[in-house]
Amino acid sequence: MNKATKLLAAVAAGVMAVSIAACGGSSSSSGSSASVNTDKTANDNASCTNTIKKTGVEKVTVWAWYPGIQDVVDDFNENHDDLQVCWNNGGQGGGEYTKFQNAIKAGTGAPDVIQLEYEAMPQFMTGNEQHLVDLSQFGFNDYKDDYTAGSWKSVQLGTDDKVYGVPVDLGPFVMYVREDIFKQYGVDVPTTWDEFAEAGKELKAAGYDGYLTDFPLNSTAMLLAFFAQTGDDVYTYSASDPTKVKVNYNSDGAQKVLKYWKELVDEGLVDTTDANTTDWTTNILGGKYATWVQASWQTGYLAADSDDGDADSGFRIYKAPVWDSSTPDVNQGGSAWAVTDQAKDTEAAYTVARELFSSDSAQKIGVTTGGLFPAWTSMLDSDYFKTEKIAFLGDQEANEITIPVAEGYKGYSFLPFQTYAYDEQDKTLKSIFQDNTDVSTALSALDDTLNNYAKQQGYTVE
Amino acid sequence: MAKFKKNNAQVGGTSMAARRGNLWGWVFTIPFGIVFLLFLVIPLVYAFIMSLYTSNVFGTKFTGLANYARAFTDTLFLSGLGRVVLYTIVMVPIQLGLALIFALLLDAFKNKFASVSRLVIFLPYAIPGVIGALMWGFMYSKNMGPFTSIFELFGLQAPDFLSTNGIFGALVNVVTWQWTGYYMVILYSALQSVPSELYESARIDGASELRIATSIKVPMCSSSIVMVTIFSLIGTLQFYTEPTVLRNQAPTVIDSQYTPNMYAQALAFSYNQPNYAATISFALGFIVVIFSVIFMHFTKKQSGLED
Repeated sequence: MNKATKLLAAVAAGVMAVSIAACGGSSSSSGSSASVNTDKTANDNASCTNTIKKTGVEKVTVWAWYPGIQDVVDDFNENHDDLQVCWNNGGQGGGEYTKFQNAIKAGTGAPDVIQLEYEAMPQFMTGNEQHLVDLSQFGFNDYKDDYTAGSWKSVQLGTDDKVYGVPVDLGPFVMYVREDIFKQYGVDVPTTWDEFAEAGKELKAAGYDGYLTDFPLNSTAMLLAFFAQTGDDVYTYSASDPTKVKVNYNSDGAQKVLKYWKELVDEGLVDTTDANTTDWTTNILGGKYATWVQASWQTGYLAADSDDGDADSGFRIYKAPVWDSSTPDVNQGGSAWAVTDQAKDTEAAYTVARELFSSDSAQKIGVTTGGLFPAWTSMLDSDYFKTEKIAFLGDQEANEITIPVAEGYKGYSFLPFQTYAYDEQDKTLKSIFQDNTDVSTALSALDDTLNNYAKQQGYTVE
Repeated sequence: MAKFKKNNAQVGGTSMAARRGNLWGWVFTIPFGIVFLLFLVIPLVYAFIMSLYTSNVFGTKFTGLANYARAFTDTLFLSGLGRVVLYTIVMVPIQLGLALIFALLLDAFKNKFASVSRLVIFLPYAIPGVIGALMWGFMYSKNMGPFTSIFELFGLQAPDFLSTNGIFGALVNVVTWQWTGYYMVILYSALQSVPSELYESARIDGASELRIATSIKVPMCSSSIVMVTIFSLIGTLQFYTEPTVLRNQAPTVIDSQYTPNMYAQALAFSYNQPNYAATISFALGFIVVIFSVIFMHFTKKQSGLED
């Protein structure tokens, strides 16, 4: 083998490592505010997963992964003569956001309307990258009362009068309780965090061999909900000032929460198995956890994972424990429709975003087939929803507990680099709970990491 | 090799026929050439150009090698790199040692049992990497895996494979299980090309089977051993599939920046930093090249690359 061949072989070796990065594209910066387009025929040849009911009508393209969305789209198309929705599944969560980012970089390929989780919205409204359309210009502010205060604030993205999405669902933070376990060991269901810790000790003393609950070290959004319960804002970000962020993990609230859980874990009352893993699912369905404090959408996931989702699991929904009477209602998760700056006919896209879930029939599909916890006030007020019996929870009318939480939730901000923040937050939990790093030291290190990252990305840090 | 060169020179190589042969040779490589250019060379050049730009909230601008300066001071990249180097040091010798032992054994015992064993050892390689890792993920599970009950039989507690301390061994095991058979087949076929006269004369001289293995068989297939080591080296430095799949079972233990390739993927697809992701990939590629060149330099003799 000669020198050139050797070099070639060595280069080829390196090549394999590199090809993974080749899919990205160089970023093009657009203007500061998303433009409004009016091309009514651009989507005529768009291919759709659903069957279009009425031909020769303007089409609006939509990406969403809600369960039952196809029924909702069919419902919309049957009831509209001037617009038809062309739906495709762009992937779930992160998968869809990556596709959207790629379409943004390519300058083409994004849908007109897109499903985005509240926590994912800021990344598309950051610095020069403004890719969601302000819907207030079409008069969406007139519909403010149709949605809960918290969901509305979530789509305002920190602005006063702009709206970047149409709220769809929420994840009111509640406590799942194995009532049968509490009864068996003669322990009262806790209502405050003090009582919660006490209940753990009592269950253990009475001979329960499971854990009071799990505090997963990959808790991401769940931890933010715990922090929000203390009333402290960990993040501050506004789409009206999109080059500025504030990260505050040094807050008293964050410290209080983590010190509380650390103590329970050290006493052996609380497990730290990673959530949504095989072991965790086996544990929670197998009665190893007496409680689970989480958003109310967990019901659907647990039912899907259990052998018979319609059988009584023993779980009942209670109000999440509070610190004191001033503890606010909090939320974890939920999503909205956003209109992209690539929408071919922006106003038509807005109409679709607003009306997809506006009919009673569509809302019912969303709540039943989709298993969504709605952000729509009319549905929350309806007897239909209030008296809905949930088989997995032993026919409990659980929405009675959950609705006031959804209504009480005031909303909070996320970062434009939320995924990175979550990854670093998980590492911090690992260092606190596995390596026994002091809570304040670990939080302060996390705060520095995220602030440095923000600066490195060009943000002004408060 | 020297002999071959002399023969070539004798032919002269400048006749019309030889030229036409050369031309046809190029024609035949066109289909490969197009694919090579489109899916390897162009993306590579594009990725390299990308790595010279930096994007932040204000937009994208040319920054030359600044990203590389950032990469080689980035603790996330460096700690991932340190981790794969450690995996390389542990995993490569284990895989190759086992592969060589299996190949020698199968070569020594040429009976039906040996051919069945050959198939069985190779079988894990026939299972797609992702499926294999998924399967091991379930086996490692405390609740669902068989190890808990197996250890209980002996009154012991099964080790926690998916914990901070256990994950290294768990991953080494998955990769070794998957790749040993493949390397074994390469080494085994190299052994088949050793002329049997050599063994016969060694036996006449009174050499034991072990002596034949260490003094004749291993040196005779040393070029294959070098090749397999390079495969293994490159593969381990680019460690990606197995930790990514096991991450679903142990997200806290295996973080999203566990290996440089995983970090590049997170940067490109989760953190929205394609430019820096390209830099990390190129930096890793550069390091793989260095490792390979160093290794090839020290094994010149064994590999038969020396002129």
